[in-house]
Amino acid sequence: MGLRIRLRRAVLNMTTESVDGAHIATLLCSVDDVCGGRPKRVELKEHGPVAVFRLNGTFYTIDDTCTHAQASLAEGEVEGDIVICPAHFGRFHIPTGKAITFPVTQDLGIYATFVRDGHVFAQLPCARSRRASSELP
Amino acid sequence: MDGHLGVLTEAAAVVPTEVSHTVSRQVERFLYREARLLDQGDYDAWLSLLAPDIHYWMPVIENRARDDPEGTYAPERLAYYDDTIDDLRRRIVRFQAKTAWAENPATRHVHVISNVEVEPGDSPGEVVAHSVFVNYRSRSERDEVVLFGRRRDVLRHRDGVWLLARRRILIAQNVLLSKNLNVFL
Amino acid sequence: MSEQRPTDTEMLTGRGSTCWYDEQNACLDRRVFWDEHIYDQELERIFRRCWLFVAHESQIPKPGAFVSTYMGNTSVLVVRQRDLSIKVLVNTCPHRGNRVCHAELGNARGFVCNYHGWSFGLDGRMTGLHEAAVFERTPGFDKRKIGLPQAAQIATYKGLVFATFDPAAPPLDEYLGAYRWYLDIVLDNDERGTEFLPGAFKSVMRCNWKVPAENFTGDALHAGWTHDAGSQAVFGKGINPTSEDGLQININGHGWQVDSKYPVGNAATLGYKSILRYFREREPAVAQRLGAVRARMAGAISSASIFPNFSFLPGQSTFRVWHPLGPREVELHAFVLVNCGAPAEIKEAYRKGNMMTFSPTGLFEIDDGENWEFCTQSNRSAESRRQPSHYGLGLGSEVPSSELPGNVFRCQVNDANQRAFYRRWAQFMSAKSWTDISAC
Repeated sequence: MGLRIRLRRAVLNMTTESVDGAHIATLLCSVDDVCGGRPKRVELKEHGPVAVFRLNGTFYTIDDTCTHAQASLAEGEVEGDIVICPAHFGRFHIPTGKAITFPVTQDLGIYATFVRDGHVFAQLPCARSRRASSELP
Repeated sequence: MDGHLGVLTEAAAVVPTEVSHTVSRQVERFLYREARLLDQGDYDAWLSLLAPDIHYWMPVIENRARDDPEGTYAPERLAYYDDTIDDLRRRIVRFQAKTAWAENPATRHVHVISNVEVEPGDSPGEVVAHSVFVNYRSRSERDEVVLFGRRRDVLRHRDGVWLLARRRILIAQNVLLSKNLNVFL
Repeated sequence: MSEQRPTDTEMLTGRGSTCWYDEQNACLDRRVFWDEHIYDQELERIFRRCWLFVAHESQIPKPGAFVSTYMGNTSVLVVRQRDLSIKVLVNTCPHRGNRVCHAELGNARGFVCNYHGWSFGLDGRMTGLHEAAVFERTPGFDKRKIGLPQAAQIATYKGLVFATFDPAAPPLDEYLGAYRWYLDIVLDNDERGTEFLPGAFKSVMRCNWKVPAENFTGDALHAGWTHDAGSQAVFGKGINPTSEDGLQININGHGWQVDSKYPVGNAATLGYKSILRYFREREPAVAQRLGAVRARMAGAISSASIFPNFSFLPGQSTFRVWHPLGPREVELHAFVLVNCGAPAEIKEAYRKGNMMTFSPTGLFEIDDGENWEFCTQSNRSAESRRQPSHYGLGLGSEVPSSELPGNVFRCQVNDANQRAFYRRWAQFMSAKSWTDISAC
């Protein structure tokens, strides 16, 4: 038990600066949290909620808030690699975040996702790069 | 006998892709004559146009979403007609009964048949005929009903005559907008 | 006809409603089949109060399954929820009123209005809006408080789902009362329960809803005359006169009338010997489950109706609702009920048998519609609708019965159930609320 707690703390403390300094590897959840074909919604204070999907053993992270009417995609149905928004049934392609059917037209943010020691991480834009991108014309 | 029809009556190795003008014309005349017999209420003559193994089917049309995989009609659901020759004979017993009150005075029927297309059938001696119908019924002084729909028929040529072997009728209505359907279509 | 015939003004103001049905003379004011104001009052006092049949459970087996129907003339969606309960949602968007569902049945994830994209879950609660951000900036707007209107109460009796808009309505079991003893004949003669066959017959008749409802609640008399041709087609002969031993039974305005001489007469009408064998073979098991009396009633020449507008024929197993879409317009929805445990060939015989007899092409149904339309339409005439009607057949035929619950009347050819129907109708029409309505 003590070893597990120490290991978990080590994982939580782990950060990795990406090559361009624009993303931070962020712990989202345990791999066991994403099961039974259902996504896992993760609230992140600075970034906003994301949804973690597990499709054929591969994990994907997308923004949880539908780009159309702000519903939570984690509450939507999953058909293959498509998530269906529970509000107006617009479809997004999970691996690419692409908006596929009416009424969704704006793609979702997607984030490189990896697993380490039984936990799921995503490369999320850090605050600096988010502010910079919001200043872009 | 038309040469092309001769091809149809053999156990052909090659299925023809179209029927001759002569056969098309024969099928049209069959459908027009059938309509006239029904307009006249000559049900015995109409019965003689049907093959003994006739399947006469008119499913109820459901109002379902376009992407509903169940489809707007299916053979296992309730149907207006899903008849064998014996079923049709039974209906005609009622039509001809003196106490069929809803037939006395007679309903004034007009069957308009149009858009006839004839294709080779799946079996030798058979053709598939598509047609549109408009059925008009007038009863009493002002009671009138118009019904539109399509039919897909299989007609069989045997011993020099055409017989109706299969009919599927699809009406262009979900709720039937009349109190009954006292008519063959 | 009573001297106290209400004036037209009294009709318009809703006063004098108890005079529309003259108990003393067993006579009904024919304006009840024609008048727009009476119809409007029925929509309030009957169809917003009573328990109304909306679906059979088998029509909506899985979460998301729905059927569209009417309660009175209100379009509703009967929706199976994720927790397997049932909700009845009114098919009108709370924004501007449009329908939120245009299909008559199917499987849904939710319902979205085509006009402005207001979106609702299976439970009717709002799940989203197009241009949501603008709404959310609007002071006082709270999407959690918005949803589709719903029936106040929903309850199921052995597969039949009923709903009412009235929160003050007594429970369904009380509304049906001892009539449930009779309903078990068709709903509970087999432990595996019942289901509707897939599909429905829907048609329109230009008659007042009460005309077919009163026919099914107690009109054994018309069978031998109206349906002679249908009987000739199925049996090769007319319908035998009904026996003196038959009965009419009514409870709370619900009716059941039954012959005793031909225990499978109704079932035989379908024209399949296999169905008759099914009834005869099952009779001992049904007798063990429900008793010998009810086992003999199962396929007998009979008809029945639950007040106000849900009728059925035991034996033929046609179950139908006379939806009142106007004072002179009925949209009939008819279904076929079978035992879940019946063999496939028996279910198929019921499917075809109902098609042949009680569908728009039905050998029996064809001759009913014109009678009912003209019974209604003749009241267009101010002179005709002043004429008396006659509901006095079988006056004084009530008999005590220790064996059968409810009000029992000797002789199947009788107007006792029709009188009970209009008595109940008058009670609802003059009552201000459910507290004024008692069992009868």
